[in-house]
Amino acid sequence: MSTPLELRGVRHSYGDVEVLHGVDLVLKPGEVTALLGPSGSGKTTLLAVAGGLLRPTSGHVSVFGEDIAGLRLDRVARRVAFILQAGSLIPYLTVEENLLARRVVAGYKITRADRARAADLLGAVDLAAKSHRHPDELSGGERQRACVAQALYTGAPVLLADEPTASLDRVRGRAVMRLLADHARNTSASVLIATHDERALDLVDRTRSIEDGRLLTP
Amino acid sequence: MWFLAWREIRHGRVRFGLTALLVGLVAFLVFMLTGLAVGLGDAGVSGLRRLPADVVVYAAGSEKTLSRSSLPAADGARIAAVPGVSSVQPIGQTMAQAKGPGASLPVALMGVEPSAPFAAPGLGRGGIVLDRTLEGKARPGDVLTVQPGGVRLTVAGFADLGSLQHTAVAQVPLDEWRRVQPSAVGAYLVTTSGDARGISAAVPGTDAVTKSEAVEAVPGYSAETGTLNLIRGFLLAVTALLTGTVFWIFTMQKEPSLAVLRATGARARLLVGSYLVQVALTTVLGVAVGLAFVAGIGAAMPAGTFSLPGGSAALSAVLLGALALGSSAASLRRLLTVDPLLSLGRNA
Repeated sequence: MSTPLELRGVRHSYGDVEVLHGVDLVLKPGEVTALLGPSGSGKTTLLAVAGGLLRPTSGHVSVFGEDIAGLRLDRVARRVAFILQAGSLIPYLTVEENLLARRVVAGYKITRADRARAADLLGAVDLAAKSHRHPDELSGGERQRACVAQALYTGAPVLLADEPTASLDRVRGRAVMRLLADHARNTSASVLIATHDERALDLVDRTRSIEDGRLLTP
Repeated sequence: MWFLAWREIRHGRVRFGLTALLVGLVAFLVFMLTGLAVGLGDAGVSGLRRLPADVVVYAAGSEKTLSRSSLPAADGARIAAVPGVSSVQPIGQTMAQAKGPGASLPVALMGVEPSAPFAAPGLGRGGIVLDRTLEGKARPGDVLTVQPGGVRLTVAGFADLGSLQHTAVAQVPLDEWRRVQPSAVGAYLVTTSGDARGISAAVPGTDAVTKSEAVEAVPGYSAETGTLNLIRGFLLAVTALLTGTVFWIFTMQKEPSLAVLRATGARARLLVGSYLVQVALTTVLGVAVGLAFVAGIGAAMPAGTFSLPGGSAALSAVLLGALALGSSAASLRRLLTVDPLLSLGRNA
């Protein structure tokens, strides 16, 4: 089986400023990897490059052995899903519709089974009662959990999460991390979590640290 | 695309509703001006439009105006001899006042041969047939005194004769018309397979023009419809500017959502399709509002000033729709170039 996500010698610059300096990273199936680092260390840029939102200045990113440089973003998105931050829910859709929108974006029509799966996932993040609310009717923590459910709903084999516990208290944060860990184990998905929250690191399989755009040796 | 488009409209119904109302108000003005252009235009020339002819032959120098034209009777035979001509009918026309027992009626007095195919039913010696819009102001059997000339004529009935220069047409036999306007013939209506210039060239002292040219030459008609159409053109431009600007602002406001959709793999077809569905729905609703307003107000307008046939309304509606879609296309580039990276925050 080919590697779900692999970064080899990835560099990225904003103008003349290089923010990733030759990053090598491999995600394994069923494994949760935490990417630790302070603000400005390059975590989000690394996620953006890994998910095809940014092209590396040099180096290669491959998903299941295929270099994503040659793939359109919609093709990458079928295999790599982002867990976005709380403010990124679409405001005119309800929580349930935010999940269903991922199916619509992927080109599918909504079926009863899709709605049932959305209901299951919203139940798993404790949002079943608020599935028909709009994002502006939710607390920050609820919105963050909805974002997690949204990414899980895609069924993508690679999940990239940018500070998924940032707006959650310790209990909720651990619940989200456990959900991601269970998802990885149950579906063999690979999960990469950029965070500087170290409260739930016992739930991840491995950690990598990044500083000034360089991954530190484990 | 319906999934996203409809839900955004539903959630922003006040915003989209106000936009539709704005489009509706401009559409109402467009429909009103279209109706006025058609109605007033018709009131200016319908009496001529309804006459069956390919070519109208005026006297040279009469500026293609029926009431100023006077031709000798002998020209009829000369015109009939022109190759291609199959029928020649003399007519005469004078603006007159017809005084009756109940009212004094301004009329566009039109003299025609009672045997002409377009002569009103019942037209005969000593009689006058009035356009149907004058029903109620005179009755069959009333004796009207026509000025100038003081000619007394009996109302023989009413028919759909139309109007000229906003004055209802009244048909009289050509011989009676000559008592009002001493002249052999005003002009000739010609059916021909040839062209108008051939008749002018063959019959000296005449100015032959196609019927549509004759209509355009009716005093005041071109200026009147031209002014209204100019205003209508400006309103259509306002529609384009309005929808283009509103949807440009809407697009800018929803850039964060567009970035998320792009980051999650939304293809251009979905984003463009959803956007155009919104523009189309808003425009259709606006046009429907405009039509509803105009149906109510148009019905209350005085007869002969407003007429909005289905074809003209449909053409205006299509123009409004096409302009709305065309102008909103200005936002497409912005829609398609939203950076998906925005979904992760600008400080990525």
